[in-house]
Parts: sequence; structure tokens; C-alpha cells
Amino acid sequence: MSDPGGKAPYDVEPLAQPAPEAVRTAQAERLLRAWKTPTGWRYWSAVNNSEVGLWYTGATLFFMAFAGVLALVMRLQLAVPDNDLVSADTYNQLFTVHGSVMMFLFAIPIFEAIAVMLLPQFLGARDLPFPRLSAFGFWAFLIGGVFLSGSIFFDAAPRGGWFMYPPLTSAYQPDLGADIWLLGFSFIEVAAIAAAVEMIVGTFKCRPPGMRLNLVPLYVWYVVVASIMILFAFPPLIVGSMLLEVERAFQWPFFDAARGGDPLLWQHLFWLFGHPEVYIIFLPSVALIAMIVPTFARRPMIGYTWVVLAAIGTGFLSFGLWVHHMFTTGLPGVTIALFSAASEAVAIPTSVQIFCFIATLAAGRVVRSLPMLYAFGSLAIFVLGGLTGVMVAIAPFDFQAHDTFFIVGHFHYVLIGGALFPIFAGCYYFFPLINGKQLSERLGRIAFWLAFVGFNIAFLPMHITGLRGMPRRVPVYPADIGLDLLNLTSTIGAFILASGVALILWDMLRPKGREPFSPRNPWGAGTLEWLQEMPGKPWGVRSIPEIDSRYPLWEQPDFVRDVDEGRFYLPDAEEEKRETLVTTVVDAQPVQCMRLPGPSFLPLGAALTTGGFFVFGTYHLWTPALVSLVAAIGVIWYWLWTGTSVIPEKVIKDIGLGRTLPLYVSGPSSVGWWAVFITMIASQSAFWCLVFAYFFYWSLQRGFPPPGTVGPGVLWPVTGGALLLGAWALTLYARRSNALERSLTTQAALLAAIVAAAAGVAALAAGPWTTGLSPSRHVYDATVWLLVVWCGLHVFTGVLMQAYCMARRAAGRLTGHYDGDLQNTVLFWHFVAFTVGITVAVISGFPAVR
Amino acid sequence: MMTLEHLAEERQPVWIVPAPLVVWALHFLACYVTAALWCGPAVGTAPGGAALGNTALAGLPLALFTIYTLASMLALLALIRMGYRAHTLGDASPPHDADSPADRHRFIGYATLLIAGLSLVAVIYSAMAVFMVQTCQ
Repeated sequence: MSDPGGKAPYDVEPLAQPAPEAVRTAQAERLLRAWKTPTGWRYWSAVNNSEVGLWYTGATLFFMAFAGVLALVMRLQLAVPDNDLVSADTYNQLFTVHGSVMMFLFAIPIFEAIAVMLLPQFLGARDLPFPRLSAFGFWAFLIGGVFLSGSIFFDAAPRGGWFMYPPLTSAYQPDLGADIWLLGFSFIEVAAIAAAVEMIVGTFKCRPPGMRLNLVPLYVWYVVVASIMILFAFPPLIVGSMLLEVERAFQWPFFDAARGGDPLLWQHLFWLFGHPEVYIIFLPSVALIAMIVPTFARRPMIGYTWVVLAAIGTGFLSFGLWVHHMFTTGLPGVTIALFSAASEAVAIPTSVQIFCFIATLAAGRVVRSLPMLYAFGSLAIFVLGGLTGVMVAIAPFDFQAHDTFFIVGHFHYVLIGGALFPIFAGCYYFFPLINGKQLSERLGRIAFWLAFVGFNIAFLPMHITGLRGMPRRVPVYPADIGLDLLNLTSTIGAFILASGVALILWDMLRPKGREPFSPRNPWGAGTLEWLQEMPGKPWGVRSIPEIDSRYPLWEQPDFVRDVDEGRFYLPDAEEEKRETLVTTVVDAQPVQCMRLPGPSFLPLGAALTTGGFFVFGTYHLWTPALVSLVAAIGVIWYWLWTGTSVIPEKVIKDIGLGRTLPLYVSGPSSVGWWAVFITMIASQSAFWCLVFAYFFYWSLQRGFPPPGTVGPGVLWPVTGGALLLGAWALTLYARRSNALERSLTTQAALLAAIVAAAAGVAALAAGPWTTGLSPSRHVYDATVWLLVVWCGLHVFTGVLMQAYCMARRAAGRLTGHYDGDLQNTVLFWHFVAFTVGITVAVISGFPAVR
Repeated sequence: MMTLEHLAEERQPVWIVPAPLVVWALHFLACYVTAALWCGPAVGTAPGGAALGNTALAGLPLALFTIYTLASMLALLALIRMGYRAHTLGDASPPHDADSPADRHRFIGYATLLIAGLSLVAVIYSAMAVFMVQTCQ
């Protein structure tokens, strides 16, 4: 057959001749003015991905160094038997903060930090679609991180281990430590979800024209998989934290067995987050290797599609592993077998990608380099960690090794091999993109050998320490039971490793003012990020290119010249506004020229006020907490009002190469609609965790609901559900009348929707209220109330959005054509209606049919 | 005969790429929930009527596991067929890296094929687990 896949209708070539020199200079000046980084104290209002990404990365590396120092204190304590360097209580704080900070303030956020910094570069975009959201995420992360880390200096840090099992953390630790953990990390998790939304929308909607799905850089595949995993993995932890905090603050007995609760629910929710989280850390790190390997093998990746399979396959399968952290909790044998099987299955995609890397290196002409040295070190360590992982996935072995130092050895091999070494490889590889300078080859080589050798001296003996019976998390051990030498060796190794890491950090931080700038594309790579000039310009790319290949710098002739001479799209900023292109999901055809917001302190203000809510809440200072919440709503309202869905001065814009695009779109083709949709997917996964909790309690006891309970009845919940569905229908009607420019009808429909929503929530709450369900009495009452409160919070947000639309319509900022706000509100209400429907079916319908 | 219109991106079923893993997830979840309910006190009854749940998996749960497994395998075979047809459109072979709607279509098919293969192996792993360990203890 004839190949119909020749040139696509929109496939265009760059301009044959560049614009005259004077025109290009004027264009470049306008672009520079539009993208200028603020100076002086206003520098901290920057929202550009290069600035925010740099701060983000710096902060995560700082937290890594901090948690590393805590680890060294622990190793000093364990260096000799019966040591009394720190007290048992301090030791508890040390391992809890070390683990929590490494996981929540280093391993996950550094993926987001690197992605914020580099994703636009990989995509030849000027910036990510929501720069201010990235900035908000960073500030929220910083506030939460400092709050949590600082607690150890006041002897107030959490002491329950990084997985915070109740009842230890609910009934036996009444001090603030656990509250700081629960609220501090919930705040940071919200920031992580914000970053995930940014990555997903950026990947699907802001690729350069022509970058079809089969041409997407491998890094981007990994990042989008990890971001989608965040949407499903973080909500269980947020829900778990909410349940535990509500139990601690208000005595709702979710984990109290005496009142029908079950501490095992926490383990399910925590590991439903905790296991995928390992892969959320691992995938973006191995993604760096997937970019480094082809560059130094001097050939395209062998098995591109197989690597995509590995990323997607690992992402999915990792959700079927959580119970392998709970093999010793007395679950049915068949359940253990099921999770054991899935734990073995995930080894398949994980190894597929490593075989692809090896094949690419074997088939290419490998150039020796520092990033490759780190990559090799990473593979060696990770493969060992993976093999011990296969061992502990076998349940009978796990029964022996559970909670021993064998596990500590295993997961440090996985995380340091699978994340830390690839990140260091990435630092050496990508550093020229940050400030145009290269890191020192000599220091890097010394640091590598210190870190690699030190790591193995520290962690290899731990496997034996564990098999000889030393449990994790004990501050002392007796002499002469075969643990002395092993522990001393581990301590010496830890300090060698730390010296290597310190050398790497010093190499990054040391002043490099006198060194020459790196040549452009110093490694001879083939992917878009190496378009960047040395040093980089704030605009990202001079013009947004049309992509025809997986490795455009290798395979598209005169590519760099054409980009630099502005022969592609958007070579100018006529109105001196920040702009980038929005494209379609599959073939990346341009559909919108999107205006991006500039520098602002609003994201910082929003982070401070929302952070205030969480921090004051931790100390049970309810009035300041409430004031912060109201202030946060005010700041966010102002941010949205002034900075989003702005009606442009003209309808369409010429982006060059004979194409004109609209400046404003709404509904499913807009990035805002996508962001709401993706956020609501995360909200739904949290909601389903609550529903899971309801049926979990029901399935494990014969008193759910407890005998004699009549609530919440059918009448009130169904009335509430009907009223809320009415509010949803009225919102839909408002969108229709708004499209017909019937202003009065639109306003009336929205107002009626708000009234119906308020009445609906009241009726929904009347169910458990009138039937006397008291949340601190029994877990049944608490679960029903929590589902109702969950609906109430969503309806409250939905009402705020309806009121916002009314105000926008009244101010002329929302019209029949420029209706993005209302479209997004309707989308939100679709999810509210669904949530309410399921809630009513569960709380009223399920007891009735039983 | 495929034409350019057939390959337009609006008609590209991108959802088939993750679909095989959704099948695996449903199979996994169904097996997990069935086992948890059967072995738990809300449904099962231990010998002697104690509210502890069943001790052995026999009869109904095994029949359900069989149905889940056969249905998942059928769905995966259908996805493998869809993926293979898209992958072998025309006479091109991997790596499917040309800048054309046809190669994008082949890539989607190839990715589906590989992911369906992985999902099939994972479903077989799960099925082996539930059929070989027929106990709640």
C-alpha cells in the first residue's frame, strides 16, 4: 500500500531566509524585555521556570545535606556497642526526621525541581503553562520543609518513624511531633500535586509543534508517568494523615480498635502511597540516565518503545505492591501470594529499561565522561538493590528480614542507586544549562569514588547485620554478639560517602566567576534542551521550533541556526508580553498562542497564608488558623482575578510561518480546563480512599454499623443529594445562558445554584445529625460524618467558584466568548455531583440494602 | 485501505496504550477484594460458626477467580490484536520514529502490543498466586 504517512498537513519548514539583522535585533530586545528577570529584592517575585527551578533544586539539596548530617549522628551512635552519644528519644527523632526529610523534602521534590527547571527546555517551550503555580508550589514546599526540619532543634520533632504507624502515633505520642509531621507534610503534598498538574498539562499541551507522541523525549515520558502516579499515590496519604490528625485532635476513632477503628487501615493507606512513591522517585531519576546514555553512546536509544513500556508498566504495577510492606501483619495467605506475585512482576519492566540502556551502550561508540561514570555507578548499585528487592518480595524470606537492618541495606541500595547517583549524574550533565559553567572533572571523579566506595562500605555490611538479627531503629546494641565490627564498618563507610557528597555539593556551590563559559551543547547531545546558549537567556528558546525527529540536534539540518535566527515560530514579542504555544495532545499541532503571567509576589503571599493555616492549626491556635485561611482565600481570589483568564486586546495573533492562532481558548482545548480536570482526578482518588475506608471497616467486623444504629437514614441524605444535583444542573444552565450572552439569566441561575448548594449541604448533614451519629462514639459515625464533611468542603469550593463567576460576569471579565472561568466551574461541579451521588449511595443506600 | 483521514489525530485511540494495564489492575483488584471478603468476618464463617472468616478458598471464590482470569485474558488478547494491527500498518518496522501520522499510529500500536504482553504476564502471575495458594491462613 502507499504510505499515507508522508507529510502532515501542517508540517512546515523554517523560513528559507532569516529576517534582516536589524529586525532580529529589535525582536530579541523585545523578547528580553518581556522575559526580564526582576532585580534587587524583587528577584524573589520571579516566576520563570529557570529561577523557580533553581531555588527548588537548591532547597532540596540543602534538605538532603541536613538529613545526611542526621544520618551521620545516627551512625556515630551505632559505631560502638552500648553507646550513649544521644538519648533513645533523640535517636527516635533522628531516624524519623532523616527518613521523612529524605523522602518528602529531597527525593520527591528534587524530581519536581529538576522538571520545573528543565521540562520547558526539553519541550522547546518558553515556560510551563502555569509559572505562578510552580512558584506557589516552591514556596509552600519551603515553608513546610523549614517548619518540619526546624522542629528537631526544639526537641519537638516527630518520633514515630517515617511511616508513623498508629496506635504509637495516635495513643502514645500526645506531644506535637506527630501533628507537625501530619500537617506539615499534607501541606507539602498539596504542593507536589500542584507540580504534578503543571507537568502533565505541560507535557500534553505545551510540546513544540510537530512533536508527535512517537517523538517525545524519553525524559518527558518518565516525568508524565511519575506525575500521573502522584495523582493516585499522594491522595491516600493525604486522607490517611487527615484521619490520623482528626483522631488526634478531635478523638474520631479511625485507628482505635476499642471503638471499631483499625490501625491496619493506616498501613494500607500509607503504603498505597509509600510503594508507588518509591517509583515516583526512581522513574524521573532513571529518566536522566535515559537522556545521558544516548548522548555518550552517540546513537539514538535502542528500544525507545520498550523504554516507554517500562515507564508506563512500572508506573501501573507499582500500585499493586503495597501489601508487601505488610507481610507480617497476619493477612490471608492468598492475599500475600497475590502481592508477592505483583512484586515479582514489576521486576520485568524495571529490567527491560536497563537492558535497553546496556544495548544502546553496546551498539554505540561510548565516549568516556563523568556523567556516564555516575550512571554506571548507579546501575551497579541499583541492580544489587533490585535483587535484594526480589528476595524480600518472597514472603517467607520477608518474615525473617522484616524490620531488620537487611531492609535498611536493601532500600538504601534502591534509593541511592536508583535516585541519588542518577541525580548526581544529571547534575554533572545538566549543570551547564544552569549557569553556563561546567563542574570540575577532577573533583567529580574524586567525589564519585569516595561516594561509590563509601556507600558500599556503609550499606553492604548492613545486610549481614540484619540477617544476624539486629532490628532497625534501635539506638543501642550489646557488645560481642557479632554486630560490633559490622556497625563500625558501616559508620566509617557513611563518613566516606558523606565526604564524597560534600565534595559534589562544594563543586556546585564554589564560585566559578573566572572560569570560561562552557561551549554550547558541550556533550554533543541530540535533544532540544541543548539548544540553550551559554549562558542561557531568560526567554528559553529564541524561536519555537518545528520538530521532525527524536534527536533534532543530530537529525534536523541547520536546526540550531534556524532556531537562533528566529526562522521558526514566535520569534518576537510585539506586545512585550510573555507567550508560548499550546498544541494538541497527539500530534502537537499548534492551537493557541498563550499569554503567560509575569513576576509576582502573589504566589509567595498565597503560600504564606495557606502555610499559616497549617502551622497555626498544628498548635491548635484556631483563630489565627482561621484568619490565615480567610486571607489565603482572599489572596488566591485576587491572584485569579488579576492574573488569569485575561481577555486579550485582540482575538488572533500571527505566530510566524504563515500561521495565526487565537490568544484565548476555553473548555477542553484550554490548559486551565485540563488543570482543573487533573486536580479533580487527584481529589477523586482521595474520595475513593474514604469510600475504601468505609468498606474496609465493614468487611473486617460484624458491628459496622454497630447494632442499634439507625443513622444517617435515607430521607435527609437523599434530599441533600437532590438539592446538590439541582445546584449542578443550574450551573450547567448558567453556562448555556452565558454563551447566549443572557447576563441576567446567568446571574440568576448561579445565585439559585448557590442557594441550592447551601441547602443541600445542610440537608446532607441533617442525616447523621438528626439520627444522633456522634463521631467520637464509634468509627461508623466518624466515617459517615467524614464523607459528609468531604462533600461539604467540595461544595464550599464550588460555591466560591460560582460566586467568582458572578463577580467576573458583573465586572465584564466573563463573556459569552471569554468564558474559561465558567467552563472550569462547570467541570468542577461535574465532579462535585459525582462525589455527592456516591456519598449518598454509600451512607444511605448501603445500610438500606443490607 | 488506510487514508490520511483515518490517521488523523482525532481518530487515534490513544487510550489503548494504558488500557492493558487497566485490565491487569481490574483483575488484581477483583482477586484482592474477593479474597479479602471471603476470608473476612463480614462474609465468611469459620468452621463452628465463629466470626473469623473462611479458612480455605474453595468453590465460589475459585469460580470467580476463573471468570476474572478468562475475561482479562480475552480482553488482553483483543488489545494485543489491536496493537499488532496498528504496529504493522504498511510495511514499516520499528523504531517508528518518522515524523508522520502513520509512524505515530504504528508507535501507539507497538506500545500497546508491548504493554499488553506485560499485562498478560502480570495477570498470569496473579492467577498463579490465587490458584496455587488456596488458603486464607
